[in-house]
Amino acid sequence: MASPRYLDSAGSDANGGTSWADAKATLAGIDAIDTTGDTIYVAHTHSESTAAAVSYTFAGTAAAPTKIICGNKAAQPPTTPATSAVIATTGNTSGITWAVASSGIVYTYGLTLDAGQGGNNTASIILSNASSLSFFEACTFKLSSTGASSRIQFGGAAVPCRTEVINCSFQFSSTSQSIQVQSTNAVRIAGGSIVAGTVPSAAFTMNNNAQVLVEGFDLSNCASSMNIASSAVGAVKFVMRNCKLPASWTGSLNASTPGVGSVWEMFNCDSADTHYHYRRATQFGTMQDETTIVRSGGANDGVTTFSYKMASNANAQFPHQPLDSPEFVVYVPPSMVGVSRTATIEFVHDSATALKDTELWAEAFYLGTSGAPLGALADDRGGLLSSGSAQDSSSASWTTTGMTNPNKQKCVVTFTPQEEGYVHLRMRLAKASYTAYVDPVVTVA
Amino acid sequence: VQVLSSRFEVGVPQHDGRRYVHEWHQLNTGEVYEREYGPVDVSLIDPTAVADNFARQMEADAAREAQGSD
Repeated sequence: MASPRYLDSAGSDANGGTSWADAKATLAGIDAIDTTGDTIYVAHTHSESTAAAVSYTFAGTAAAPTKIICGNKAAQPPTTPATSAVIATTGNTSGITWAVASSGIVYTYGLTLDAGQGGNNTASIILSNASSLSFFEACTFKLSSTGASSRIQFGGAAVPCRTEVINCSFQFSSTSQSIQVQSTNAVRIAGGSIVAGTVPSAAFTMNNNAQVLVEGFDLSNCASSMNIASSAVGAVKFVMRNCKLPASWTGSLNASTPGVGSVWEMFNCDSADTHYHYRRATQFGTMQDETTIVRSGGANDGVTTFSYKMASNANAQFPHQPLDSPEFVVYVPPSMVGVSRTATIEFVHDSATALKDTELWAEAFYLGTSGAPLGALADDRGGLLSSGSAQDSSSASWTTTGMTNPNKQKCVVTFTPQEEGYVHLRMRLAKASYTAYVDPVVTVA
Repeated sequence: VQVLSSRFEVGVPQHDGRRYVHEWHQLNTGEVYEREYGPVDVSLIDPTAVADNFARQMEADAAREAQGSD
């Protein structure tokens, strides 16, 4: 039966854990008796330290999750949350594993998990290593271990977990340590920071099929050379947005070439007060914002006009291995339905030779079926077995500082929308090792 | 992976005066790894040292990845 449980290092594991006066002294003592639906109150003065590794498996389920909440023990149950309780391990190889039963759910508030004090072997903090949902709020994950292989790890290998981390701090003791996301895991880090001191050279280590959203996360304490990751694994979806980067940041979003199907994106992250920065890395190249080579009247965040620089790598190839831009979305109102329309995207590149429709083209998904929300594909791609034709030349006005042979062109996609709604477009650059600047403003006429 | 040589090129100033820096790293596999970082105030950094540091880090990351992490 679900019960309130009480944890206070001033208590004893011989107690029943039913009140502050009857509190268990260790989380292991609580874990031995917890049942589904328990709320475990942790005294704000609680501080336990164990030489050996500790591994907890909480009993929470979707219908009756486990809640672990640090609170001020002046009241029973506490009425004021706190963030001062500490659970530490001191052994050279003593990690902390914070798990829940398969398909279980656990919520944790206000704890510091501190692994491997003084050790230089592997002592990791492992969060949610069964197929489960785990939530952490206002917690600190601290690797006191100086072992290069120690890590703050989300999930077990190839075990699907979802972990959400809200306003938590990450603290490291070796530049080789990192936040590691295991394969088939989904993670959201919202708010919080990497604590100043010894900071990782690469903030994240990824494994196949990991899905990560990082938002509002402060990385400004990291070294200017810090890479977000260096990862060649496949099927990763990594998104960072609205994050603060180190001053004079010289690192990379991904310091390796992303693996098969992996997409890495960074929206509006900077050390300076800007709001237009964008980065993207895929197996076939990279993209980033550009504020010098821009189209007059082009995309603007209200202050700064910008374009996107698309730089394919040697692996880009027609027709199926292009560097894709992010989607550009435009609304088609009822007044535009049922009549042939054109969507135009302007671009410029540095060559007297025009880009062909087998080298760079636009693709649009529009609502092409009357009476159903069934999308249809339109593009201005060249024929599969053709040698390609030059994309249309353009008279648009671009600033082309630094270019020798600026060549202004445009992609034009013709389509007939059958329903009002959104058209999703993207540019696809298939010419290998080539750079083009794209204005993300889509003109529909 | 070993980085045999590295070079860089500083780009044109962006709207706020900062610049992108393009690096090329020649690998012992025959491939050339390219990256672009910034925008950054290049008066505050040493692009040669940045390129060298990145090359060493790339070698270390590759060695670690080869060991497997999952």
